[in-house]
Amino acid sequence: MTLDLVGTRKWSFLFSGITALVAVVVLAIPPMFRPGIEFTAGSTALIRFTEPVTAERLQAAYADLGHGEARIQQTSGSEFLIRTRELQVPPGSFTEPAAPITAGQVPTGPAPVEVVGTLQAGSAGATGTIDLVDLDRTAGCKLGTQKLGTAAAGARVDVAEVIANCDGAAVYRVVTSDASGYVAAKDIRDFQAKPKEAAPEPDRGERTVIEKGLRERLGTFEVREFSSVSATVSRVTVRNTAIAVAVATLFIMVYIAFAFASLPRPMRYGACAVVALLHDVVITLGMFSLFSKLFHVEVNLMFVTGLLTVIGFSVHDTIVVYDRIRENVRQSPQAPFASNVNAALVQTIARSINTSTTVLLTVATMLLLGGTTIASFLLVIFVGVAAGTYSSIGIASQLLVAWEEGDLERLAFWRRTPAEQPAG
Amino acid sequence: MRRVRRFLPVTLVALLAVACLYIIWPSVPRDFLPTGIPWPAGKGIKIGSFERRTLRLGLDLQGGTRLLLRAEVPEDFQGNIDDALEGTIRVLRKRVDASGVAEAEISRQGDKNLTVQLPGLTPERARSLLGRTAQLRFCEPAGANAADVGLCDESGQWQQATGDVDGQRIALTGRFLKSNAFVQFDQAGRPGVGFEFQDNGGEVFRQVTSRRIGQQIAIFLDNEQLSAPVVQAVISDRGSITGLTLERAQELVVQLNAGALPLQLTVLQEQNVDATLGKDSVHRSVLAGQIGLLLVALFMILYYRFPGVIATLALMVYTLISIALFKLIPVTLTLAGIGAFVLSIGMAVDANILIFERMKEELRAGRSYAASIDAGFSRAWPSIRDSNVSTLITCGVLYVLGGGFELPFLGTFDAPLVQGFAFTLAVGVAVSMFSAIRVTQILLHLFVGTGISRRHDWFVPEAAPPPAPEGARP
Repeated sequence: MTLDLVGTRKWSFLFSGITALVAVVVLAIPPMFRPGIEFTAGSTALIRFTEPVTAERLQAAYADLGHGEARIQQTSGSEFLIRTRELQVPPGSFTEPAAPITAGQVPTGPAPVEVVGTLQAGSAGATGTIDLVDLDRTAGCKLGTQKLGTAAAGARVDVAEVIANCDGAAVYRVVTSDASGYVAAKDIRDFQAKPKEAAPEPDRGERTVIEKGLRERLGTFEVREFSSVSATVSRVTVRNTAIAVAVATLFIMVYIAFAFASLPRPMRYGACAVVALLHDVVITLGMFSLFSKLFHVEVNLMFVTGLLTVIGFSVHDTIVVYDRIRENVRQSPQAPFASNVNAALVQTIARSINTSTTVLLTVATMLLLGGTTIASFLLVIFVGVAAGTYSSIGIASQLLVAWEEGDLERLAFWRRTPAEQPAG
Repeated sequence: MRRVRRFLPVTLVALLAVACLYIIWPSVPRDFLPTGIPWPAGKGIKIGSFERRTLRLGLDLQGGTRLLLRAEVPEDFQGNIDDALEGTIRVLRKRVDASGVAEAEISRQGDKNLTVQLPGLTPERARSLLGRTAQLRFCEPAGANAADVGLCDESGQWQQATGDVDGQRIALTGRFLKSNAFVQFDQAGRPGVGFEFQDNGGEVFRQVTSRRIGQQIAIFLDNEQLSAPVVQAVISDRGSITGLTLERAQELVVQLNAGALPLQLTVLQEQNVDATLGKDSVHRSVLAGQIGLLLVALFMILYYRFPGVIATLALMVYTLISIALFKLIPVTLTLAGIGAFVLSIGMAVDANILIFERMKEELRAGRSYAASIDAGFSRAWPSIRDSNVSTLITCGVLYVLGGGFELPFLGTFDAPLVQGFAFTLAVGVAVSMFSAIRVTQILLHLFVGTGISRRHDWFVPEAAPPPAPEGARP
């Protein structure tokens, strides 16, 4: 006794129909999706922290502040390029990027500088003058030998910069009325940092909120750049991608018809494969729309890729089953079509489930153990592959039978011919 | 001789696998392999000028260079700045794509800035590829009307070459070049750039060359003199620029074909940026992927027994060949690409599963091991072929449409998002049609006539184990 899969087709149609309908309803309720930051305008910031900070901690801090979507790229040391969704800021809150850099440029004095504190030149009891020398910043950090000026020992002078660790000790950049240069920690005494002016920070809307939150969590930082950015992927591109996929689907339909040309009515195979494909896509989209609404999952570029993967898988799976139908029909052309299809389904069901299992196994492992940034991609594949496996068994081939048996007409003339014979 | 015939294919497969393993061995092994073991660092491959040290990874996995460019809008600029910026982005994208750097990210930042992230280019190359306006000008020796038509450089030696068409004076610039410039070599093998004129360019060039015969003309890119050939004959349709290095010629071709930038750009900043997905996340996903594949192997072996072992070996060979190809071509691997690769692995596994299911049927039907291998393969082949060909067709359509083309009335159509995916998937599927199938077959054939070929219980769960001699099954 073999499994009668074809006989259950009205249940699988009913199940799929309801699922697809629910998916369409879910999709129809706005918002359909939450677009990821690739598709929307956003804000970008280049931030340099004083203390070492890891990208993971920064990501966690942003998530904590309600910006789980933040895309964080480390540029060097503890400097990060962060892209978030568009922050609501009042006009004038943008920090323009620094001026063009020139290769090999080394900061030299004298230049208008901000005074960070004062010190007395010379170690305790020193007399005469103290040399101010240059600093070689190109090769790490090393005090040079070139004399740029002097400061009288014991005189209180302004300090423009404190380099905490230079060649093992602190180095101070001293500014006098006529010179500026560097002096080592051993040649100074009594450094007094200028008290930070508690200047009221201008209110910059969400920017201020985030910066305050970051400072509390990760210490002080400098914002080197803050501006708005356009979407990196335009809507036109997404639309074009959808068109490209639709064209590819048409080609698939034609190819399937061509591959099954030896059978009667080959166009039906292509059409039914595409219906099954649409079924998978609609269910995957609907599921994602639901996730968008419930868990704020975003649709990003990876989602598009995942959907392509699902489409590829769905068609692949369907064709394998069709191929078995072709073989059975050739072997026993006299047998009813439904029984040939049923035999094909029974013969391929182990293979269908095993193939999906291997893919789902990999995806599930990555979903559980892998990084969170690709979770949405994996989720799409998981849902889509599961739907694709089901539809190749429950939809694609069953539709062929329904078409062959004229189920649709029977449905329409239900009342007139209630005693219609069931499918052989 | 029979021994040779028996072991030669397996030896070749093994050699191929070792070669691929050598090619793909990572230069920083601890990124991909369990830490704590002093793995030797990979050296990549180098044959002559062909060198591949590392896999080319996309921005999302490895990061790259970020350039911040400021568009210089002239005081007297007329027209829509937004349109000009969009046009600038389009030209930049064309340049990036044509230079073989896939998966770049370009967006507007603030009012007049553009931010570009490029994987796998040094900051210097990125700067010279994108920073130039690439306005090409043809110039002739300065004459009396130099002030009218404009000088080409500050020395005052050259003026813009012009011609009169339909009573209008037209300056000969890069605007009149067809976008099919190409690298060419002269008889001495020196590289140069060949180009053709379009619209009125040919007519203007004819007028210039006919009045300057025997004299020098010059070709300037922005403010740099590229070459100054002596006019030998009247030319109207084509020309060439000589005296370039090969690298410069290639870059110039990219820039000429993409067209000049509508706005001049200044590089404000350039810096290396890390992976957009986060290093930690990428590492964990690599590890998780490896564990996942291990589970697949385990599943295959438990379910299919001996053939499962064979399939696992074949799959390893398949993975090695695919990654080696990705490195050699090179394919810029992004997460999308890896998605495609996972799919192609799934399809390679599927091919094996199809074959084994058929083999089982044959063995159950009482055929011998050798016969069931052949029957299994020949009967599984049509479905493997049809499903893979349909995948290849999808890839082809996505790749071609993704590349972009001009549609009448509708403007440019392009969908670069899917190109990388399509290409990676196509490579994976093409390899799987060869390797996963052929390698499995070679490995299975190795055991024909050995003890294993009589252990049908290693293939079909319900089969009786040996003592029962051949043919005892139903």
